[in-house]
Amino acid sequence: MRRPSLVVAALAICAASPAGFAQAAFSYSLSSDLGDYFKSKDVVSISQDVPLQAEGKLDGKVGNPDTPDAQYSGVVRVSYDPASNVTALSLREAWVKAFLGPVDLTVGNQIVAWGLTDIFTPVDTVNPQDYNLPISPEKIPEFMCRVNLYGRGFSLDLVAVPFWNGDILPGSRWQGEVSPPPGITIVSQSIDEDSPSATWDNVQFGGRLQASADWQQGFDAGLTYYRGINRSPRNSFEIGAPIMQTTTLTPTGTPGEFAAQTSLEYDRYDLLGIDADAALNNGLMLRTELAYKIFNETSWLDPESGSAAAEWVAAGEYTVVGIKTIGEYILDWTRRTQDDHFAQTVLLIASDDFDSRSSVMAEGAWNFDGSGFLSPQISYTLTDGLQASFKVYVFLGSSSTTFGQFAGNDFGEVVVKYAF
Amino acid sequence: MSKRNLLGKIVSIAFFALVAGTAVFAQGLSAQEVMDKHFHVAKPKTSIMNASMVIAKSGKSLSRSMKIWGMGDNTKGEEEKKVIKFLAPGDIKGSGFLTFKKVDGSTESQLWLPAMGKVRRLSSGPSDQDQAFFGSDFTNRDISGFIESDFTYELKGFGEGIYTVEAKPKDQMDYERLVYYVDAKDFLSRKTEYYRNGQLAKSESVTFVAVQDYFMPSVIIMTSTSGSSTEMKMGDYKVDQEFGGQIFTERFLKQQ
Repeated sequence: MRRPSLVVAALAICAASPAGFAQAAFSYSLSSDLGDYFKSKDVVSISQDVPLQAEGKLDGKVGNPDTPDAQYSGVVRVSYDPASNVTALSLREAWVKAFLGPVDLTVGNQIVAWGLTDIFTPVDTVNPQDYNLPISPEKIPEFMCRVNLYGRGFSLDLVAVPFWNGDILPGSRWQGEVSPPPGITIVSQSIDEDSPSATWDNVQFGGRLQASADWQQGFDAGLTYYRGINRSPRNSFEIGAPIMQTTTLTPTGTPGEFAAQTSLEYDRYDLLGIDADAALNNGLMLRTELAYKIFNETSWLDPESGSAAAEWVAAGEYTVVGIKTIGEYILDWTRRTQDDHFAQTVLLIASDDFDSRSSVMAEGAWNFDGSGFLSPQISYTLTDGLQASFKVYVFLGSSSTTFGQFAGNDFGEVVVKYAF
Repeated sequence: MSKRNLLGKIVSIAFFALVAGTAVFAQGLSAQEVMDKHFHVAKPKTSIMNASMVIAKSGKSLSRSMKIWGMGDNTKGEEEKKVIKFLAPGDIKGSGFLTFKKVDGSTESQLWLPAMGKVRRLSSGPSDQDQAFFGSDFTNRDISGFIESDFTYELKGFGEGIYTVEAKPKDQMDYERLVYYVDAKDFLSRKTEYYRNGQLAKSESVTFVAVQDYFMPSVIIMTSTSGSSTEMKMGDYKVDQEFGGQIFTERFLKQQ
């Protein structure tokens, strides 16, 4: 986080103003996340060995609480790892928002959620992600300026992200293995990271226009454009693909032995996306998203090899015998060096609330390469604000498949969270 | 008094009571007319209230507190709008529900869950509308409210100043029928029964309080036959305040 001081100062000014202080509210949450990989003997925390996490939030409004002139929010996260006895402090979302007629201007660390589908959201591209648990990543708040314009039946969301921050990549147990070609022995390895610096050229920006219509029982459509820089090194992490950074091999003088220098490069990209949802008269809810991405300013219509990708998600939501069910079909396309590559996945999520305290959810995905995962989850609210959940992930398929490569990472986790 | 005279008096009184009762029953009081009066009970142009909800089952309870904004009257050809924002407890604080009951009876609802970071449109059919409202004994449909044209009505009886009216939904919904108990004095329904699959699923009792020129609900208790109940208490009413259209928007829903 490069400019927390500005945001903290602005937050302090808002909170300290007489009107802002009067309407300030504090809230807190404590959570513990303990998990176990079934197929290994180490009982480890899933979230970067962080068994205990606390968040404190300060938020408030300036002016009339229903129609404020400004609003502010700041979240601080404290993580404690008993294994290493290390306590880490981080500023999460921290922003100040001014309401200027039909325009909201927000500055600070923010999380942006674009798109209309669930789980697979190809147009949702603005924030870097924490892939510690790659099957369920968490967005990392990013410093940005954001302008939201609200009109009759439409809204426009513009963002400018001046500083680049990368994804937190998954641990080694989640990454595929790359073996050197036969006859080659790697004797040393160095990494040369070429992170985008804070220059005008590296400012990321984009916008999303969303319109709503009174068609059927409600219809929304969105158009997204974003010019960004990849948050992960080229090909470094993609579910279904092993790490394949650009690596240069230099002979050491001994036959068959090489020194490897890996260069971590972050490609620029342009993303064009469309999405829509519709609530039909028969109760069926339809959602779809399509994102087309070109890298390093290649042609939109005739991209160079390895320089374009697209993802399309089509989803339906309905209640079947009392169980809320979401089905998604995901089609991925990448233009690779040799030929076009397609991957297809279907996802099913079924959930039900037993009563006011307990709910169950089952999530399953199946890739057409013969792999998949299953994830049942049960949650129980012990008392107001205190919730415990138990979740299991099981991966299926051979080691060369999209999800099967994680078969050694089947795990279960218990999360307890208290918010007050 | 001779036996003959006494018998005559009894017959006369019985006859008078029968005629009078029939007259009241028939004055008006067809099912459609009763419910027309019920739905035409004066409503404020706008309302703001604070509410608390206690969901109880097996001796344990969960609570929620919220603020509710309302606007519109279907009987005047207006869309009925509601925004509900949760203030506590911490795990659902900031969540919001925006619903429009349209003139034609259809419902458009949106849900804001801060953890998701985006507004989610709900379907208007049973798939979403008949889901429990934040774990309570109310459904999203109950919270959106009903309008006169949602049902066909049949008068089931009249006694002790209460009309018993059966309401059958015109369109598909989880309820097979509702039974309203409408007070002949003010045409408010202080009790409503909800039937599902031929059996009573839950019953609702409502206590009203006078706020300026209106009767507004102060306590609603929804008791399910499954053993749970939800008590919603409402207060701090502000009625007929002018607030522009910006309250019933996605923008307002997302404000924390």
